[in-house]
Amino acid sequence: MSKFSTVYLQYVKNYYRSRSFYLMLLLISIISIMMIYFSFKYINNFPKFLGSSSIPITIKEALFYFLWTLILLYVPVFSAVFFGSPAISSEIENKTAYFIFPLPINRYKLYIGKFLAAFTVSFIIMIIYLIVEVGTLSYLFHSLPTIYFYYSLLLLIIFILTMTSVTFMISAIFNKNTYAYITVLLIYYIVFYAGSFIIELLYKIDPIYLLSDAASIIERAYMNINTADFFSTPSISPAPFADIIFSALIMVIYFIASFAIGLILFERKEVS
Amino acid sequence: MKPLILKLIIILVAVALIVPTALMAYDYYQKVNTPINKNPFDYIPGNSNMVATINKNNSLFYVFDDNNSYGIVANISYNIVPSNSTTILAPSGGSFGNVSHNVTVKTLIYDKTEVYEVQNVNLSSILKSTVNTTLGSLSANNTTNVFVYLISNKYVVMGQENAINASIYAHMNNNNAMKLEPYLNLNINTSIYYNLSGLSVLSGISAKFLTVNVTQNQSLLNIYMNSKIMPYELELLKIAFANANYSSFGNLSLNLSHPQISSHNNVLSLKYNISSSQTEAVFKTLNIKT
Repeated sequence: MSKFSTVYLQYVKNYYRSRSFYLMLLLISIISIMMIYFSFKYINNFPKFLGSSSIPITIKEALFYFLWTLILLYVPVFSAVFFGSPAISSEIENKTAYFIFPLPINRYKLYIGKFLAAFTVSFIIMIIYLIVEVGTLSYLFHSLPTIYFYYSLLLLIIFILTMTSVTFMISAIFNKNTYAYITVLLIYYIVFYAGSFIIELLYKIDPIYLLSDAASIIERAYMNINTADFFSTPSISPAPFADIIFSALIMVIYFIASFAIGLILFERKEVS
Repeated sequence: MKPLILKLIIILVAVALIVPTALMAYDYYQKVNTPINKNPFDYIPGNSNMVATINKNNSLFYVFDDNNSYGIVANISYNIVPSNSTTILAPSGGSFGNVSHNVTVKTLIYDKTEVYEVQNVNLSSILKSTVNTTLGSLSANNTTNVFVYLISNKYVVMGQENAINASIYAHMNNNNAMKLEPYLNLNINTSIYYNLSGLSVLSGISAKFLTVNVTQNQSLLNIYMNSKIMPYELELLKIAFANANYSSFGNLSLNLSHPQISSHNNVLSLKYNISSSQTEAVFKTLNIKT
């Protein structure tokens, strides 16, 4: 256990000191500032923007939470790419594996420790954004977040775990960081996003089994509007609870599968 | 631990976790995809004076009159917060009609139900544009406020304030018009239920309600009496209806003659050989003009 915690803490420290961390921090700070500006500017103008003279405060609040959460569908992907994609491949590319792999520690402990460290730093980045979000919207609406915020938060945690796991798995396949970076982005934005669009366009089937589709539940927890799905029926009501559980389970399946495959690939990994 | 054993353990644990998760996900997927089985009659007050189902452009509209306050239930193709563009809430197969003047939308909460008050529109023109029907008691030029609420993104209920209140109350308190559904034929052009509240049709013969079913070729009017029709009563009714050009049922008037008359238990059936395009005379009885 002490070895595992040493690995975990060491990698958290590594990530914390990396340029990727500060880049993500800068990115999330800029987005947070823009969202604060947006919220204060449009808090009273938004109904007109939508075309309605008055919207109940509860719907308005849900709408603002929904818009803030839109960011959380994309930033975790970049965060996972920054922290997860080079996780294994960089050890080979930078030849640090020569020193790490022979250490008297189980490979799976090394993998899990590094995985949890990457998840932790990704989550820290998101927590900063969430604190700003809750602070801003609580100030503007004079109320604490509703239950849907906590649903969305739990779903976000599952999504970060899943994305980190998928990036670790891909990182375990390649020996070069660039390939890992590109493959993750291609898989997520071409296979999942574009694939979802093409499947719906051609076959009129909602590919609910795709990770990007399941991840949309993070924002749909507030309002059942899938911003990446042009064919679904939007609704201002939150997504049904069954839909929330279903999407969470889809993400969990991706997480378990990719984690197991990544772990096996890492076990077999050899420094050539 | 041997690498092979470790791999096997990893695979077994992963499979052991994924299989029940997938089964659970499938269960929830079924729940998510179970169509919302809402019945429009659940949103129509049970004590309505009149309930009509009208088929137009492959869409079914349910019109009801609750104490001279009119409402309409229709399928909706989508659900977005209403805006100044009134077409946004237009039911599928219809529109809010010609509402070029200033229309504003206000959101209200009635009995925990979100209701949109569309101000300065003409309910008569909405009915005209959606079901090609005008209600005699509504002035064609009467600009008023129309109240609208949505049922699970599937139906829209719109109408006058009292009708909408009654509709929400009917649903909440289970005082709905489900019991009237068997009397209406949803597959034909027009089917109407009219409450007669024990009105006397002939001396000593009173009726509970009547239904009118209009098909392409004929119109069938069934009058449900309070008690079984005796043979001599049927003879009297036959004489009364066969010769009358103008029969009256309280507020209703029947401007037709020479129906084929029959009876079964407490139901008097009057069959008119007129097509759906000639039904204005029938609808006059119900204060509805097509």
